Amino acid sequence: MNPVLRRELLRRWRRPRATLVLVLFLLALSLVTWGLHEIGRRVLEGQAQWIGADAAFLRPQLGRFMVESVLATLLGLVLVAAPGFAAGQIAGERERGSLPLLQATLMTPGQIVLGKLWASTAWVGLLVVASLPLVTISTVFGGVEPLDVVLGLAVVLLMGLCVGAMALGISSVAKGTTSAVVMTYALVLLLILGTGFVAILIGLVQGSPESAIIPLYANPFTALAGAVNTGEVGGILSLPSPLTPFAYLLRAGDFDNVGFGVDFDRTWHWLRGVGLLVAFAALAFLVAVRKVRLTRPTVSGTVGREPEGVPTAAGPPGG
Amino acid sequence: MTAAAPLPPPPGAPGRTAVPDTAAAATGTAVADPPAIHLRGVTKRFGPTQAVAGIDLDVPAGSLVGLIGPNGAGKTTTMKSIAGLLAPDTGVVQVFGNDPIRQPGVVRRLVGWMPDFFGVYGGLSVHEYLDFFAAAYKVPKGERAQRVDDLLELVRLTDKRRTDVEGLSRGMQQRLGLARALVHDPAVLLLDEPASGLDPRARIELREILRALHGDGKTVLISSHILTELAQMCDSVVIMDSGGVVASGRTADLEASLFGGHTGVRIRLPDPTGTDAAVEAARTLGAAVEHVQPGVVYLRVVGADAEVAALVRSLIGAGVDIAELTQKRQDLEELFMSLTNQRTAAPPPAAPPPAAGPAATTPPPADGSQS
Repeated sequence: MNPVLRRELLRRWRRPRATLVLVLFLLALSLVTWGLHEIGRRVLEGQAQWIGADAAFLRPQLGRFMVESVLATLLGLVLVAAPGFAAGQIAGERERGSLPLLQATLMTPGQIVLGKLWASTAWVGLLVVASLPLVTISTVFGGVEPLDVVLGLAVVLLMGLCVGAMALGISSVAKGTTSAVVMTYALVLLLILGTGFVAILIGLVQGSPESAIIPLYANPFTALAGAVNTGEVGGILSLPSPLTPFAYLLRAGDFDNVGFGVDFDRTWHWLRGVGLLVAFAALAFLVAVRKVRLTRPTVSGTVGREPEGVPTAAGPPGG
Repeated sequence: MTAAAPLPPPPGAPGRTAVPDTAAAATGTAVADPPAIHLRGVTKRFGPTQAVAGIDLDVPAGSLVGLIGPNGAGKTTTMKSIAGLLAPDTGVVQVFGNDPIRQPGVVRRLVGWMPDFFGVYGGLSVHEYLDFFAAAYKVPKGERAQRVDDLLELVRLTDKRRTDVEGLSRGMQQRLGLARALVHDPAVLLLDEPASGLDPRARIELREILRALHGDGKTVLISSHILTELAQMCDSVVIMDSGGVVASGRTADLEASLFGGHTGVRIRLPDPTGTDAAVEAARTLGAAVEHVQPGVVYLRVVGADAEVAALVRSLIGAGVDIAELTQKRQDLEELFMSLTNQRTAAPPPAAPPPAAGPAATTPPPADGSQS
């Protein structure tokens, strides 16, 4: 096992704070799941009553609404948790004065950064695994393919990995831990809100829905919407989830073929979104590796050669 | 002193370094093996600051060498260059013939580095902390537990093996840092101000540990501001200032050579009326009279103990009665102050080569800049 990963697991997972964070995380997710269920049930019951239908008829809508909402909440919590864990990793080592000790070992910069990335992802993975029962409960209402859930969870995990890598990249260039954390959260906000804002701006200025979609591929929620096959509001008998606006924006160029649970070339959107974020993450990882790597000779050709005309040790020592 | 012989091809990762032939070292005979540490024309600049300005230094294998200098003298930069943590702008750095930048893996196996300041990872026990670094140095898993236990015993932290590293005192953390630097059994130890912030007891303990390591054949380069401590502990010293080496060699030799071989002598006479006769006799015998009080004469003698003894014999032979004689020799602190002051005011003094110890020469900075 990577020594850095092992050390981080030892240090962080057995602290009381880790347990507290996990408990609070599950508590928050449980409350959200319960609240979503109550809201969804009441809205759909009202709709069923209005059209005179049996409420059981609308259970699949409730199931999809809940799965999408729970996964969106899970992604939101992961996007909050991952930077908090990863952003201080390299900057903290530098502040603590322990980074040179690591650099002096036989570990390569890549191994050091990778160990920290795995540690961050392992934490996200623990959160995802711990939330599995809540996600599974949401599927009992139907309306969701198992593949949607699996892909949704995979995207959440992958986004945690990507944001962790970006946080490490920022951590490697930041002056200190605080600025690294602030900058990483700013980046996360930019990815979530900024991309939507830019998409709307482009749509308004250019009037071209196709080009307006492009910034949305950098949005983690867009990737999740694509992965779980989020549909749009299909008439009155549906319930918009937090992912619905992203699906709506993604389909801005395809208004004629929308509806609840309609397959809208999911793979294409999912891969574009994930691919872009993975590319950002890879870039950030390389930045972190480069920053952790030790200084290279600044004057090539003169280092490592015996200088000419320099007095040798046989000469007077005090000169 | 070791001669700056042509460098042999890199020997790879040598095993334990043997203690050098002390007889050969004492007589100045060249040592055939490459020095443990070899620096030639090393420069390093940080922006406008010339941190290291062309250092030449050879540290023989198995020696315990002190690196002395004021803040900004370039000690830490020099040590980091040797450890491969900084690439010099120009010059040669070699550890047993291996380049720390081009052969980082080999040099990192050979070198244990302890910085002046280092942080510890809270949440890890002392044993886990050392085990982590042992793994990072790729010490085989089967050997790690025993290695860590041995090191804890060496630095007297066995009873703290389960204590959180953040809960250790400053002195204990320093000892832990030393154990960390030793975790891969390096042949060369670079200790940057290891005694800073330690109380006298902790310093004595650290000194004993370092002596034990030196006895095991480790090459130790240690920097410190506590000059007298280095003088007690080290085979020889290297005095740095403004990015360069101003003097190096055995302490006693440096004291003798760099002060022109003068020894101050205070003579108290049993009868103050004999003062003038004593002054006259001393002058006749070639001693310089520095100060005279009734019954007390301050002289300066060229040479050391033997010359002082000869003077005393001659004075007594000339009929001068001596009630008390006190010899005053400049110690390392005065030497250090003298050298660094001289370097600030004027070029450093030329001195004959010391009999043994690290050999160093430093051309003045090309641009005259100082860190």
